[in-house]
Amino acid sequence: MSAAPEYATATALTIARAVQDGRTTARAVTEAALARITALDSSLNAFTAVTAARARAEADAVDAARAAGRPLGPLAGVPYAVKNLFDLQGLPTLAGSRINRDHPPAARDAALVERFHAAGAVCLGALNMGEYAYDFTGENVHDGASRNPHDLGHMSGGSSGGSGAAVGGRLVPLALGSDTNGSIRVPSSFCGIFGIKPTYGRLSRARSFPFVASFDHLGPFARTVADLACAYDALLGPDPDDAACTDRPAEPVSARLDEGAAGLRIAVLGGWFAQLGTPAAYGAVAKAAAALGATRTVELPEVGRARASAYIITMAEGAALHLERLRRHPLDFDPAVRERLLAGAVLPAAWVVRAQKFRRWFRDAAHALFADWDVLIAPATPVVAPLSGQQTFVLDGREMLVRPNIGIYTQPISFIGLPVVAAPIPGEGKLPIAVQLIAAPWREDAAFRAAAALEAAGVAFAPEPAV
Amino acid sequence: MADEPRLPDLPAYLDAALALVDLPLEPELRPRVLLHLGLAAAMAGEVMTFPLSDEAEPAPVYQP
Repeated sequence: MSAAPEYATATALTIARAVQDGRTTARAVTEAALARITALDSSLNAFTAVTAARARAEADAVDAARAAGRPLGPLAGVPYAVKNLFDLQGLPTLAGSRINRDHPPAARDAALVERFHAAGAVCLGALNMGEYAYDFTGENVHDGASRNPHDLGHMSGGSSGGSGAAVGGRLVPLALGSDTNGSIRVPSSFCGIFGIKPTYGRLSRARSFPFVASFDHLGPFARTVADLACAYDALLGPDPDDAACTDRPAEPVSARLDEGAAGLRIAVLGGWFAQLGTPAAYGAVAKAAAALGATRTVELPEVGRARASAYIITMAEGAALHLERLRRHPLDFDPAVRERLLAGAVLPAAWVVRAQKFRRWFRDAAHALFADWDVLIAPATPVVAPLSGQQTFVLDGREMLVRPNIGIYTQPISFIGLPVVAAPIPGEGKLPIAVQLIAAPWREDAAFRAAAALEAAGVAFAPEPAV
Repeated sequence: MADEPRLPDLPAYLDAALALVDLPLEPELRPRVLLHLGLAAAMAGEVMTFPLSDEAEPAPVYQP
């Protein structure tokens, strides 16, 4: 079967329409994507497993369905890959670790992988990630760092670093990732792509490897808003296999993108979100605000305490999850992960309970703000991608550790489960940066519409990779 | 008696608590774990000094 190289870097919707119309085949698109991965992944290190046989079988099934006159799904023939904490039948689910390599192969795909399959998408493999998702850098001591597609010497962002590198580097038009404290929004920012961290409980986490049950979210990445919306819509729906998954009916967003930002009340988040950033971060917010006509700056109260509470809960729940592995396989962890988990294992219980009580207080404060506003704009990261291995950076004149501070703007938002679209706003430098478009709970439509308006204005877009 | 608050003895606490939960820690990594425990203690200071009523409910509410 020959490849269709003209579709190797096409958007998901371009591919799906071409497959549906018979202008190309899912198999030809798959071969083109596999060839591009073979050519470029030695540079990007985005993939930890390429599932070529599975991809070819899925693509052939799509082509057979079309030949038989059966209806095709909205993502027919669209290649994608998943952060390696999603179960893929037949592979052990690594979650970025060495320890999980000894796990038995997954017996069944993750729920979201099954939904992509039902939509006609074709799974090309598993993607690199920070160990056990406790990471903002995209570095991994076992598999090596996934690299930034705009400058290979810089971080991809974590913990869904392979997802960011694969979509930003145009190896696949779609990827799935997870976000506990920023792990979808940080790679979106560093790699210059769109990503959605939905409302907590919106998308099923069934058969994915957890990190912090209170904050774990899953979601897709893409290079256009329409692709992201189509992917998101395909993933919607209740699932009794995830205790936190909502039983609200699906609320798809694709048909609403054309509404743009008309009628949306949009403000800029100040206070905490206007401190510790660099001009690149503030410049992106200013551009987005201007394009969306957002002239007011508003504040959430007590954001520092929100971030502190998220930090405590993350350490404690993460440690509880890994306690037995910390006992039995201490030296198989990345030391940078283990040292935080060990500290988390000894935190007084009252700190954690208090943080969960503060979480409800902060949620109520956010609800009050959303009585007057539909979308709040904030930076996604304080900086563009740091150099690979960089340990410190200077924010507001203070030298600070890179690892815990990349997520200063994302962590307080996922703490209360608000939906966020990360929208890339490239500036003058070669490294992009993104803004967060934050909406009220269950109002992904508002965040998507704001992103679509920014894209239509030419302000938000995924820049060409350097690879 | 001095009025300034006593700093908690984090190294002693860490060693005792790790023994309680039966977790190994080699000496080389101990300073890094103490760094993170100190960071968490500072974060907890922010959380614990925020006034909440006795009736404040934790965010996750169990539904039987």
